[in-house]
Amino acid sequence: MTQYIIPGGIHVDLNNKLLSTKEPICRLPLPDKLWIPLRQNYGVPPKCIVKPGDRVLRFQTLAVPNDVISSPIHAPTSGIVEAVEDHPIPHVSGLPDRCIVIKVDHQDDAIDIKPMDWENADPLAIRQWIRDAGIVGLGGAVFPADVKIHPPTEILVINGAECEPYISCDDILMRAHADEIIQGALVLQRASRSTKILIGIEDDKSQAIQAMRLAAENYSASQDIRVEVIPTRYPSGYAKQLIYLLTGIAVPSNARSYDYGVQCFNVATTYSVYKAVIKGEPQTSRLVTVTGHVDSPRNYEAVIGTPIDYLLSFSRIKENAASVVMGGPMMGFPIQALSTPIVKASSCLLVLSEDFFANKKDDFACIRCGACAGVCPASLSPYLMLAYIKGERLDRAEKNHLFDCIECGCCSYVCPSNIPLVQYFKYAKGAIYGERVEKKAAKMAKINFEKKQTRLAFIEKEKAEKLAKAKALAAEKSAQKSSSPEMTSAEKAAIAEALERVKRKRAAKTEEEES
Amino acid sequence: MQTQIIQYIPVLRTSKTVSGKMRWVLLALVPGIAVYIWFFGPVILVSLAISTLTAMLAESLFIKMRGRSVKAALSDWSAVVTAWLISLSVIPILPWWALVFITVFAMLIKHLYGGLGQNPFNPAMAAVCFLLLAFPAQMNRWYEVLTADSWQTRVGAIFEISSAHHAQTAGAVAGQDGISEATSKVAQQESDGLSQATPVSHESITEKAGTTASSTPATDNLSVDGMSQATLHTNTEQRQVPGEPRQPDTMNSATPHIDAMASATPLSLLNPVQMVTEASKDLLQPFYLQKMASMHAIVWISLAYVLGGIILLAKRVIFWRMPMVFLSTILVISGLFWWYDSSLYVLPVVHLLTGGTMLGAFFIITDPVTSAITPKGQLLFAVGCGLLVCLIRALGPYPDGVALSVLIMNMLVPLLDRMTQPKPFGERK
Repeated sequence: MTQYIIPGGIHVDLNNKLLSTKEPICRLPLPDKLWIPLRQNYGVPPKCIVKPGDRVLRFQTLAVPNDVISSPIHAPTSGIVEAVEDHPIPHVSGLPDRCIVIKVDHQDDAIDIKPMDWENADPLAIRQWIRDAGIVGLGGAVFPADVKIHPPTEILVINGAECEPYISCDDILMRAHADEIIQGALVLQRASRSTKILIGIEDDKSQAIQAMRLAAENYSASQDIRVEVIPTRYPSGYAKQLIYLLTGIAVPSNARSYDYGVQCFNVATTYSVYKAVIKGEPQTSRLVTVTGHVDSPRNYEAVIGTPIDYLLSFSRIKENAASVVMGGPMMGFPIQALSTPIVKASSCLLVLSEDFFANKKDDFACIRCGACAGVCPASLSPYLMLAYIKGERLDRAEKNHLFDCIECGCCSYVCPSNIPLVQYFKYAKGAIYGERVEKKAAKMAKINFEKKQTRLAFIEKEKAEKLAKAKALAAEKSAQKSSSPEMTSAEKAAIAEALERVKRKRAAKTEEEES
Repeated sequence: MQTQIIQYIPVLRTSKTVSGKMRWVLLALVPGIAVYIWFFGPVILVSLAISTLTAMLAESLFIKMRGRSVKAALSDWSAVVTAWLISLSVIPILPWWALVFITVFAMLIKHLYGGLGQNPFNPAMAAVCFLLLAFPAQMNRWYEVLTADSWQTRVGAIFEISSAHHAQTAGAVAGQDGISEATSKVAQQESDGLSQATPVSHESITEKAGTTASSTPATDNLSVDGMSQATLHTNTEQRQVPGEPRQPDTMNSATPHIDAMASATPLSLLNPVQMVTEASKDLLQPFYLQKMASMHAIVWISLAYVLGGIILLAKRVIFWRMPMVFLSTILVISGLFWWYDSSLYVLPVVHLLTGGTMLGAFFIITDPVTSAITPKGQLLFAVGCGLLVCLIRALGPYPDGVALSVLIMNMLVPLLDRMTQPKPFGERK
């Protein structure tokens, strides 16, 4: 057990995890059609490089990164690209988004893949390799893994906590692929030039702990690898919470972990790194826990793009199921269409029965009981922020550390008044961001306007100056005209001579005409 | 399968609800009410019924005026909790009109600020203070409760229908012993409307009072609820100077007055050991076997509140911090007073077991709405309440002071919470 304790947190009944760990991992047969959303990573979605009609092979790149915080997507199997169209994707908003639709030909032809000679490779080359394999954080945040590799990072934390109730995919993965996870961790260790690997697992996963300890022993002669057991308490599996639990380093909300010499990767991400670097396979599948109100809850290895109803048909939904939640019961969100595909972030499908909603409670007024503050892992005062947000004082909410909120949902969980606190905080964050964008736009507009004004003023000034010059010139000319009486005698003589000539010519002309 | 739209994330929620908490509070008050009934008869039930009905009607009315859902507001049980706390904080024979008045006032206080959760002041305590200021005479009738010969008399007092009968019976039973003689005479005098010298013998007082000093704070502590006897002083020449204890000879002087008499009765309480032994000896008799109830009952009611508090602690409706700090503060501060002069100030344990201390510790200061939220804030809040209770009891003109202390500390809650905000997780570099 570790000596550090995070503030707050909640303790949920543990038996819910046992539902889905009785059966081993089931490799899901390929469906006939895949919908692969472009938006699968935190940050900017990648750019699609295939077009309808193309035949794609397994592991072929379908989309390339558009930005630094962006991740490529690869074909999970061979088939024909049928369309690139809008389709429901797993997102809180429930709005459809761009998906690459692949008609699976069940040939499963793959492109040539080769492993990386990582032991002799440059850390930055490993990082690039991981980026090209499209590896994102599989714990749920889907942050591109390569961006998190920031050598030198002294301590590498491997997150096997899996604190969220009901989900067991990491537990099962650690039981089945402990050695691969350790190898993946060693790759990450080389890439981020770490000296120490700490693997944190909650104490309710005894089999996983045993498997990981056994696997780590094989390497402990040459490497500093330790499997640490942490108490089961949501949200111990949040990156910064786990880092604190294992190392005592408290990374504030506005800083990156690597600035504190530590970085955290999920076990599933680490396993993907193993597959990408040591096997050469980019990320095209993941483990998904199907649990809750189903006949046979278990963990599936499903390819990215598998429709949810296809996956659920293997576990068979029970009679009075009412809703499907993607992710766990704390962070997950309801799926509004069962044709929604599995993405890299989909760790769990939780089917809820009607009974779950039978005693659906309305929200009452906040009675200031302070339970939310007691469970907040960020040591915030949710009741206070709620009051400010309800009173439309977002600035005050921000001053009370709104942006330190990690949206874990503990406050909403304990609230006896059933107030959706996290929703309020998400809303407020969005509103403040929106305000900032607007302010920035307004500021830019102001700057542009001022620039234009100065430019116009400059042009006006130039015009005025030109005009003034022209006027001055004209004035000078007219002045010259008016000054003709003061002409020199020579000039006068010349003019008189010219006049004389004209006269003579005219006289000669008239003489000719007369004659 | 139809996908049902889930409004809230997380979908997982605790089963704890506000109404559940409120129901536990009501349940935890039941032992106290039971002891009340044991000693005083079902008069408290009449009081509870009046206040509950009034509170629910007033709540409905105000909620309707505010254009909210009446059903939702009533289903949280908070109005009932307020009503019960009011009934248990005032004398059980409080006339019905006064009870209705202050209960409506409590609900008004709550809804003026925006209803449940928004009120800065504890509604029940605001009601008690309102009574204290508006109808002070009503708060000094504990002797009537104690000396009434039957619960019917007490119920009659609520509806003010049988005061003549009460006076007669009080007079009839007088003479059993020194105390009851004295008190019933007082009662008689009071009901006769006499407020001058009462023919109470020197002996009867001192005998029962033993050697214990009869100081104002000591005596006044014995009224259960925080009502003032000092404010009652209609007899101006005998006005007690706050902080200056009344000497026994003063009390037995030629001009004793009503509240001197009224508070004289429970003087024997000042020895808690004797009090408890006596209580166990002959006071465990239920009301229907007793000719008269006794102030000892109040100690038993306090102990019943402690039981209720333990239930709430066990169900995690309240937490140990505030009650413990509050009681410890009272123990320490009243201990200091007692140590300073034990002839003037009573034993600290008397402070704990009488007055509104226990009700306050477990049911009043733990009200989540009007107390501080942060752990440090709660600490300061409880210390402040305990300190003010002791100061008001020992030095102030009011006998109990729980209600006043809570209201004063309520005002400081926003400041306390603001001063003691925790630092967010993470060490800023």
